[in-house]
Amino acid sequence: MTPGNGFPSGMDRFALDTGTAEGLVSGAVDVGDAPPEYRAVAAVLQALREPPESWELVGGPAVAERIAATVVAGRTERAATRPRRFASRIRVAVASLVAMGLALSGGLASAGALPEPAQRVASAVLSKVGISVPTGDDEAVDHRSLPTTAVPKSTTIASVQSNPTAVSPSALPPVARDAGVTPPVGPGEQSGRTAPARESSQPTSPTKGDGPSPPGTPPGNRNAYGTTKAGGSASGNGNGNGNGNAYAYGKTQPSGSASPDLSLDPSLGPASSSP
Amino acid sequence: MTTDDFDEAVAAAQDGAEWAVAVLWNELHPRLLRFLRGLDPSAAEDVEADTWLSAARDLGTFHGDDGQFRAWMFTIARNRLIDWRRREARRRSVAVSPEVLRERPAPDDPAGLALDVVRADAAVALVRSCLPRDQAEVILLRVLGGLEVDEVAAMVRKQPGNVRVLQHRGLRRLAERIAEGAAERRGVTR
Repeated sequence: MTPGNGFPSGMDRFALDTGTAEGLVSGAVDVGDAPPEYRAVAAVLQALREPPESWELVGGPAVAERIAATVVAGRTERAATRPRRFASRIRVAVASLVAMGLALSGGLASAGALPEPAQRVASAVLSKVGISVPTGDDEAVDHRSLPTTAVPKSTTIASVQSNPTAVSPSALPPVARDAGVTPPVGPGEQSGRTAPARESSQPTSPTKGDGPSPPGTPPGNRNAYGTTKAGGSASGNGNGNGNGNAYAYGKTQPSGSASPDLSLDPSLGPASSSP
Repeated sequence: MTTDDFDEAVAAAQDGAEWAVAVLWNELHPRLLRFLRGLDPSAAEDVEADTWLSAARDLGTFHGDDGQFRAWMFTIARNRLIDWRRREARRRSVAVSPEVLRERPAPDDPAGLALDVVRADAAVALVRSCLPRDQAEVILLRVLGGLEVDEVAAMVRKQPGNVRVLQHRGLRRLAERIAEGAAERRGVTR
């Protein structure tokens, strides 16, 4: 038995496959070719595609005239604003470059990485606005002290013995001693290693170098507080020498005079000449 | 109108030729107006005027063929309609003109409209009264704009599969509503 609409129960009378749906909306399926349940739909969609009626095109010329005027005005406006936009982009680019250059040079100046003349100028300029940056002179001292640590052993010894003031730490300004690199001061330096200035600038007690090492104390502990770290310990008998150097260095630095004991101390001889 | 003629008209219109603008307007104005009436009849006229003004301002920047130009114009129309709805949503009341009420069909007689469909505006009114807005929008864009599924999907920001589903449901719902109305007219109950 069928319901009143004539379709068997359970059958979807409005079933629509994808191809038919696509044909309906694209106009490929005419009213007569559409499924019976969709013929009215096809008629509705066909009516939507009907050409415009005359009343729908009323006022067309006047509207077209206004639209054309707007098109011309828009084109003129774009042509006028194009150079302005270009100029503004140039200004933004130049300002960005200047800002980047200032930031870069400011950073280099604060790090003290500029060349000496530029560093001096930057320091002078920035000091006027209350910003303290290293001067070029500081950097010069640091650079001067670096090659000294790499001088070969024999040369250093000769320098120390013939002209102690040439490489003596007392010949360097106090800033150089605090800048992180310490000039060679004794046999410990002759092994090519330099103690940090932080350690060398610390006041060392003279009694530490004079007194004997406590029994059972490893040699490394004795080296830790001297200005020279490795030279003495490397020679096997240089622990005392290292401490002695520390004592001499600590004593002579504040006075600003050369350290005569460095080359004259007989106890330094074997340690300094040992390979 | 052939594709070459349309492209020539677009190029001339970009230079401000009035005849070319008239050609484009005659070709697209009825479709745009029907599309907008199918979604919001009270705003159709104003939104369509805004659409042409926006298109005129940006016509010099358009590049593409006739299909892309249609898609471009319907996209502008849809965006202007969304703007209009946002503006109206901020208002406390919306004035409805008598013409709009007269144009709106009775929801219990869609078949009468379908059987008497001889005019496009009646078909637009039927679609608007029978379908939810998203389904009506998809069907109107496909039929009036002549747009493909992918173009409609990009315009309404949905997946192409979702657009096909909306289109299928809209067609089915339209057929069901027309059949229901026809049955009621005949006095036959299921």
